Amino acid sequence: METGVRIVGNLAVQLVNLTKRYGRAAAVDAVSLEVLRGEFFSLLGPSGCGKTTTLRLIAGLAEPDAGAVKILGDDVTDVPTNRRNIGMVFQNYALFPHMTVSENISFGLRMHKVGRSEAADRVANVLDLVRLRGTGDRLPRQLSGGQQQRVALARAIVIEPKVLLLDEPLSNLDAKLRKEMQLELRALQRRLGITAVYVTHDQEEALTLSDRIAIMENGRITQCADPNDIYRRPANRFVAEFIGRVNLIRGSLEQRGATSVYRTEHGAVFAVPRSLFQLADSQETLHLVLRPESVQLDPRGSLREGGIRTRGRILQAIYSGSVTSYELEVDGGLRLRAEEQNTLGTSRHREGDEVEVYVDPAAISGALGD
Amino acid sequence: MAVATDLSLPRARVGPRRRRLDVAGVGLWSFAGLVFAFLFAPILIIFLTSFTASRTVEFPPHGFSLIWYGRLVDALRNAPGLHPGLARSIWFSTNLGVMASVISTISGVLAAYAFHKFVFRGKEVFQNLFMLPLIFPSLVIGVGLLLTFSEYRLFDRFTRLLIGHVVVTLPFVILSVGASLRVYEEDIEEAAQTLGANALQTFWHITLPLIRPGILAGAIFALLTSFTNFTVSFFLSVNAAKPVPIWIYELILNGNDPILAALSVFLIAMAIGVLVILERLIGIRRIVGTSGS
Repeated sequence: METGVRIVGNLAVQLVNLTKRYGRAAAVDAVSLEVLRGEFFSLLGPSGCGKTTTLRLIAGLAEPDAGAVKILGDDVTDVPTNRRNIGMVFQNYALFPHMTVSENISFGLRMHKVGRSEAADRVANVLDLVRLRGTGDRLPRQLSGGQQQRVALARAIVIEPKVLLLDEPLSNLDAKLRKEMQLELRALQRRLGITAVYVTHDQEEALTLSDRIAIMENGRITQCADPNDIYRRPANRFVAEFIGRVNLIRGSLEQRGATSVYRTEHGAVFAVPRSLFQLADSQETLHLVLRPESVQLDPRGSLREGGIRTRGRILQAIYSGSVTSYELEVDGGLRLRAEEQNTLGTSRHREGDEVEVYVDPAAISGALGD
Repeated sequence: MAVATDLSLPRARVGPRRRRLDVAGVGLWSFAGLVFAFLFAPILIIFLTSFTASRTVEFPPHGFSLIWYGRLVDALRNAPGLHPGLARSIWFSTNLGVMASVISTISGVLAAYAFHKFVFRGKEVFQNLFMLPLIFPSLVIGVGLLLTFSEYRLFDRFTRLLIGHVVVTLPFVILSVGASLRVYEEDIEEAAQTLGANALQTFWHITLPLIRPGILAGAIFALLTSFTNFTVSFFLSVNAAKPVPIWIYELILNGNDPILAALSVFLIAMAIGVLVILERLIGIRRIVGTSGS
């Protein structure tokens, strides 16, 4: 998949054909991936796609049926969890309810035989780091959800693990706190230079946090790339629909003389960039992927060759402050969703308006799949 | 005016609902009252009877006196008279109960943990086997153990009795510990492992403290079950050493002596005493309730 020589010493986690079956079904099906040192790597997918099982296989909390797990180059497939030197943050925090915050955090240090005075220093430092100074003597149940989350994080990073594993750690927090914690988590991970493998079903969270994302579906990795690539060039229809909002148009490509055109299943025809032929041959089903924000209405400035140009009528305009999203019907009966920033604070168009519709060639991509 | 109508609205709505609730409430309270009456009436009757002045157990009691408590104290002090061996029986039952409870608790914790944690061949069979004494008539257990022990001449008399008591008390510990194991999430143990704790360290530092309330509850139930067990003891005990229930039974065979009422009150007081001490030491709510939160 990737070209060039990769320096082995640069790999934090390496999964080789990792497989885990429950009964007959493969929860994780021959997954191979590489996580670089210091990278924030996300496993993203709907529930039941195998992302949490993959994480548990890295942690050693589940045993693979086939394949290997390597951490910093060492094969740890047969090494028990407690000797893998990993840190893990669980979805419901899994704090020890009978221990204080300090005892929770120092537990890992005790198990790793760190001296008492050094342990005390490290606990104090990490409490500062997660902004929990002064809560050391409290019990977990006396803390708020966000604070418990930070204790769980502190407990995992204080042992200076080779890799930090996070299993949907923010999913129990309310939306506002979740956003704050995302930024905090990202900043902390960068500052410590720690390798993080992050499991989430929240595509926005994955896009915000990650250096790279692996999208999983039915136990396999569908696409593994940086957030930008995944958003702009989804590998298939599943990824396109899973990430962000999207106009998916079903149809196929045709070559008409010097120009490439796309014919929708309902018979509408657009000029499209030639580059789409790299994805599919003529007659083959190809979905056009158009993000709502790249569908321009009454475009200003110059229009480039190879972009989609058509006319449409606005069926619905939904105003939400900074953005208005429009539902429109374009020539050929096709429905499209467009999104426009309201630079003046109000919508530019109203329901019923006739508008010119344009999509820049650079914003057009295609995805295979029925 | 507007305010007045606003106020009348919710009142009108609350009215009928509250009346319905009252009917249901009265029914519920009456039912609960009946249940409590049936549960506590015998205890109350025994309590009242223990103060009788007559020579037989009668209800309502005739007169008021403390003579039967006096007799009880005499019997406990092994004064020569009609009731030899009471003090010895109480001491014997206490020893038996504590030993049975300790053995059941240790093996019960291990069994419950194994059932909770591991998947192994025949797990269901073992689980049901351990629970059998709860369903099986104790009579069958008592007779079965007696026949087996005498047929093969196994163990001395005290060990026989102890084994019998462990068999009937073990299910209580397994149930109680099993319930407390189910209360907390498995990932707490997994968290300990990711932090470098091996299986033994995880059990010692994490699991054991979390299930302590369940262990204590199981141990107490085991102790009380052993102390009050009649059927198994009946088949396995011999003259020399008699658990308290057998001692009481033999006394009843000789007529209904009101000293039994006094003894019952004494035993109830002891049980309450144990509970009060436990409440002081660890808090009874932690034993019977869920752990932690």
